Formats: sequence, C-alpha cells, structure tokens
Amino acid sequence: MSNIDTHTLVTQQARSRRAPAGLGQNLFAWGALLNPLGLIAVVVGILLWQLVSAVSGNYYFPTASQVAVDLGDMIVDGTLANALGITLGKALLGVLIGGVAGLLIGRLMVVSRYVADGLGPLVNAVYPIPRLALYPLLVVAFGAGGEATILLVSIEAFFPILYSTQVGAGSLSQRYRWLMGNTGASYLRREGIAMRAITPYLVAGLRNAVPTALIVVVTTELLLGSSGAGFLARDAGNQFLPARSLAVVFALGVVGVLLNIVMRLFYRRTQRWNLSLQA
Amino acid sequence: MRFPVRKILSPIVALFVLLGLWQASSLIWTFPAYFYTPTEIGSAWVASLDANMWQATWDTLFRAGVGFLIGTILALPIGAITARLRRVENTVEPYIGFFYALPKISLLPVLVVWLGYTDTARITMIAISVFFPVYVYMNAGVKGINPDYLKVASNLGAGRWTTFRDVLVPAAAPMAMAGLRVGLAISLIVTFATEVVGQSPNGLGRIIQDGFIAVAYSEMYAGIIMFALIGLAIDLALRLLTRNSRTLWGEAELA
Amino acid sequence: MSPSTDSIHDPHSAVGLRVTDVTRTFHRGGVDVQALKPVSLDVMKGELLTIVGPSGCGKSTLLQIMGGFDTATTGTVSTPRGSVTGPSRTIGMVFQRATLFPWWNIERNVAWALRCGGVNRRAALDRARELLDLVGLSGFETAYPNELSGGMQQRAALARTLSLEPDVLLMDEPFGALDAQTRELMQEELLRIQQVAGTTIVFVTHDIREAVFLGDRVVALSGSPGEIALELAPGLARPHTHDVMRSKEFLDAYEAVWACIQTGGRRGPVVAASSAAAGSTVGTP
Repeated sequence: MSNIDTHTLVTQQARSRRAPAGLGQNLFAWGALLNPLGLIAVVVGILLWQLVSAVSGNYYFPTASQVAVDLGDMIVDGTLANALGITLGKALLGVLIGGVAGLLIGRLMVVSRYVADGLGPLVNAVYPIPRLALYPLLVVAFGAGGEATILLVSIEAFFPILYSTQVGAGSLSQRYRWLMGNTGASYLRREGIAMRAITPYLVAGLRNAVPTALIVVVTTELLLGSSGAGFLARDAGNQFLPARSLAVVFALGVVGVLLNIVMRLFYRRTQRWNLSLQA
Repeated sequence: MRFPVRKILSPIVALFVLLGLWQASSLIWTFPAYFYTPTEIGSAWVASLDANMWQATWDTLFRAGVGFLIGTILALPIGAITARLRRVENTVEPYIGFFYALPKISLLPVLVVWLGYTDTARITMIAISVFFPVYVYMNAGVKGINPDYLKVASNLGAGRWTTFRDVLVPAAAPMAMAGLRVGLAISLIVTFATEVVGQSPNGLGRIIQDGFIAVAYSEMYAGIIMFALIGLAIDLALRLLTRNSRTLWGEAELA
Repeated sequence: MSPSTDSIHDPHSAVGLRVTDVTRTFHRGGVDVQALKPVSLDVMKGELLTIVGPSGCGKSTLLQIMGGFDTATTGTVSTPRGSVTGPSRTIGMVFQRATLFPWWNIERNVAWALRCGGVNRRAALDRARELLDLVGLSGFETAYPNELSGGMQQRAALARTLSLEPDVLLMDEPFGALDAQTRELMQEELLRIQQVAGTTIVFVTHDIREAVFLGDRVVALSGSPGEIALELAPGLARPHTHDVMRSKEFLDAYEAVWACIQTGGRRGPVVAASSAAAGSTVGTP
C-alpha cells in the first residue's frame, strides 16, 4: 500500500507555490471570454485604459495602442519570437530534467521503504527554502549562460513531480500488484501498466511544474540574464520604454494562458487512466 | 497531543548524514572556490551576524510582510465575494485568469519606470504576486463549502452576519490557510527578486547581490542561509499554528 | 385519505402540515424534467409519517419543498402558522449526512442552534446537554463530530434539530449511510424519542421495512415523476421493537407497499389503524 497518506498529499499540494493543478489554471477557460459580462469587461477595460492614458498624456503611462504597436513591431522583426523561444526552451528543458529526476526518485520511494524514509523527510525539509536565492551562486558556478537557469528550473520542477509521482505510484495499490503477479506479466508489461497508472498524476504535477518553470526562467532573466523575455522586459524598462515593456508582459501573459490551456487538455485526456477514479 | 518523535527525528538524521557526506567528500576531492563545505558555510554565516546583517534581515522581512499583508487583505474579501456572486466573478474572470497565468515578475521593470527604484515599487510587486494565489485559494475555499451547511444555517434561522462569521469563515478557512501558506512562500521569493532587480539599498537580496558582484562567496552563502532559515522558520510556524485546526476541520462526513 | 376539508388554521385542527397539489418541474439543460406529479397529503400532529419510494421518485424533492428549501412549481404547503415559503425554525430538517459543523464540539453545535433562536449562552448550553442526553449522547458532549461514529453524529444532528422545538421534523433518509446494526438501533431510538417529545415527523426512506417499522402511516411514492400510489397505516402497537417485523401486520403492510411500488402504483383506501385489521390494502383502483 502507498506510504503516502492523504493528509500528506494535501499538505504537499498546498505547499507548492502554485495552486493545486486545476484550481487557478481553470480560471482562463474559454468560458472566461465567451461569457458576455467578461467580454464586456475586457473591452471596457481596454477602452478605459486607452482613454485615460491618452488624456493624461504622461509618457510613462503608455496607451493601449502604443503597446499594441510595439507588440506588432516586436513580432514582425522577430525579437519576440526569439526571446520567447529562448525563455520557453530553458523552461521546458528544466522541466524535462527535473521531471525525469522526480519521476525516477518518486517511483523509487514508493518501491523502497528505506529510500522513502531516508529521502522523504529530507526533501520535505528542503522544500520551504526559497530556491531562487540560490541563483546567484549557481551563476557563479555555471556562468551566465542558460545552464544555471536550467539547473534552477530542474530543482523547482523536481518537487511537484516527485510528489505527484509518489501519489501516482501509490495508487497502484497492493491489489493491482497481486493481480499482475497472478497473471505472470513480464517486466515490460508491468512497467506499461505502472506508467499508465502514474501518468495522470504525472500530468497533474506537470500542470504545476510548467507554469512555475516559466516564472523561474523569466525571473532569472530579469535578475542576471542577457537574453529571453525577462531580459527583454527589463531592457525596455532600462531604456525607459514602458510601452515596449508592457508589450512583452502582454506576450508573456498570452504564453502563460496558452500553456495552461495545453496542459489542461493534456490533463483531461490522461484522466481516464486514473485508477483512483474507479469505484 | 502526542509528540511526533519519528517525524521530527528522521529529517534531522537524514540531514546529518547528508551534511556528513558532503563534508567528508571535501577531503577526497578539492572543491572549487565557490563550493563551500557545510562547516565553511556555517562559519561564513556565523561570521556575518553583525548589526548590518540583522538589519538587512529585518528589511527583507518587512518588505515581504507588508507586501503579503496588502495582497492578502485585498485577495481574501474579493475571493470570497466572487465565489458567492456569479456575475461579479464572470466580469472579473478574464482579468484574473490572464494575470494568474502571467509571470507577474515581468511587471517589475514597468513598475520601476513608474515608481522608481523605491520600496513602493518593490512592495507593490510583492503584493501583486501574493494577491493571485491567495485569491484563487479563497475563491475555491468559499465555493467548496458544503451547501448543506448553509441549508442548516438557514433552517436554524441564522442571520447573514452570523452565518458569515460562524459558518462561512470556518468552513472556508482550511483552503484559505493553504492559500496563505503559498502566498507567504511567494512573498519571500519575490522580495528577493525585487531587491536585486529593483536595486534595493538594503535587505538580504542586496547582501547576496553585493557578494555576487564582489565575488565574495562568504557573503553570498551568509545571505542564502539567512533566507533559508527564514523560509524554514515561517513554514514551521505555520505548520504548528494550523496543526489543531487541520484535524478538527477535516470534513466530518462519517454519517 | 384525501386531504381533510377542515381548515388547517382552525385551532382544533389535527393537521400539522398540509401539502396541496404540489408539483415540481426542473429545467435541466433546456429540457423540462418533472420530478413530482400533483401530490397532496396531510400530516397529522404528533404522527410519524413515512414516505417511501424508489430512487428518483421525488421523495427527497417533496421533503425539501415541505421544508421550504425548494419551491414547488405549482401547489402549496402550509402549516397552522401559514404557508411555507422558505426555511424557518418551525420546520426542522435532518439531512442524510449529519452536517454538524466540524469546527465545534457537539454541544456547541446544538447550543448554536439555540442561540440562533435568541437563547443566551448559559441557557443554550444547559438545554443542549439535556437534548444530547435525550438522544443518548450524555458523556460525549465535548466530543467533536469527526471523533464520533456515524450513528452518534446523526443523534447529535437530531438533538440539534429538536432544539428548535419545531412544529414538524423532516428527516431525509437520515439512517441511509449507517450500517445495518446501527440503523436498527437508531430506528428504535427514534421511536423512543418521538414518544417522549411528541414531535410530528415526516420521514423519507427508500427502505420499505424501515418505512413500515417506523410509520404510523406510510405513504408510497412511485414512478418517475413521482406521485402517491398508496397510503396505509400498518397498525403496529406502540411501543415496538424489531421483533415486530415477524408479525402478520408488519408483513402484510410490507407486502402491500412492495407490490404497489413494484407495479408502478395503485391508489387504495387507507387501512383502519387497528391491530386487528390485517387485510391487504389493495383496494379498488
């Protein structure tokens, strides 16, 4: 049986920096725009922004149209695509590394009581430490290229995926293992079943890890970066181009929303493999 | 309340083992200059504990605390209101959804352009970052209240204020607490980021950054350890505070 | 028995609650779903009326309407105080799941109900303890709901609702989530409590045996949408225990209800409430 009790799961989920997968990430469903009140609110908001900023004439308060123009420029000359590509690349690579590590260790922890007792409390103890504070040190160690960022993202992604994997592997309860022993399934077949059982939980963990990764990458680019979307925003700020900076913000928001949508679709499709949803 | 010996002892033991290995391996390999052993880290931290350090710690905590409070004070009532009033929620949802998905730290350069490298800008950034997760948790918490509780309250003739105080608040509290914990963690991290990017004249972020620029590793480690300690202390405090309510307020749906 | 013609507001009236031609139609996804066909019945003061029917026949809906938690599409519900338009302290509801507030112990839960009625703190606690004693929970007053078993939670919930001293007590399958032994115990306890408190009770269940055991009168709803298919009085002597389930009266009543629900319902006359009358209730349709 799983050695992860429900209470621990809830605590771990609650401790992750983002809402439990599905909470806030369902906010921007298509329904948010398709409902008339929401649509009106957005249109009114943009118009109001345009009005107030145009009237105030303050340079530091760019109008919506200025932001749109700057956004358009950045799209056309490829700066935006380039920057977003760099940012997303680092984020996804970090999630991949941290995810694989979390998956392996998570499964190990469910299989072996010793590993669970040894590593578990250690992981829990390290978790509350603000990991971003490590970033300058990582840069000292690995240089100002993307490596330090990717490493940091890996560490960040590790935790939610570790916890999700533990629960997922734990869902493959004793009864299922007896069943597989009973049918004399080969190692490969058993692995197939195990991975299918774990996948829904893994995806739930990813729903957590991916947005967090994006945030971490943008933050590191803001801190000490020289490329990527975070750098772009800071650079625009340094040059006193608030419209351009806001344009980057907008683009990042859109990226964030799209990521959420993709992850949610992914999540829905894998839920049918969720063992615990059966009677 | 039984003292959970095993739960507290295990991580301590595991930690000692890890630190021991780390320290021991320095005898085998030579570490690069920036890679300290546990003893070096420890002494660097201890050596740093002057008035300046404590002041910096306080500055960071102050910023994080104020930003957290502002964000929370706004998020809790708004989260509760949108959970109860469908129309308000529908109106606000596109904005909240967009900003929730946005890496809000990207707003910092613009905030700095508007407000300068001031504490106002930094604290505003922190408050914004804290607002959204707390909002989401509160919203979910109020929405998730068992509707039968409200039926019972209306059956018993409880007035609106009584229902709010005695039913809604306790019922939503567990989720709200979870949101607060997330918010606290975020406030620390964002404080660090704003101190560095926002060129704060003081605070732990400043200390770490100075250490980074001056290639003074001891300084960096000292700052990092302080941050780690703060994070752990806050987490521990929260866990102790919410210990009792967790066992009681878990759904008693046995009947 | 068709609703008597005497006015419910007549002080000498024996009617505690009157349901008149109530229907309920839900609008689900653009389609109208009728849950209840016109239902009329009178609940007499002091009686324990059970409503029994299969899942989906609308019995819970009917109960919710009786308590003012739901509004009928057509028809009315009234008590001697007037018509029922919303939840109030005069009609108490006990839900299937105890829904005690988990953040207070049970005596505070019960006391809170009293305080909502304006009772001061000290008196509320005293009365709460009396009621908990009535339902057999003395000694457990300071326990929290999630420290108690299902049966005990339901007792506490009952104590809370009794504290309202309501005109009518509505119970929505309150023993449904309990195990068989606890359920039998609770049924006997309910009879005992009702003897003492004299409350008018409307008890909804899907369990025919429970309905016949408890009810002074049994109303069977059948069909979906639901309508009254049968009313009968099992005529079991009070007080009784589960031994009575082997008696002829019980078995006959059970058979009648079962057959009625089985065949989708036939209206029949009410059997006289005497222990001698054991005939079948299948009258002329």
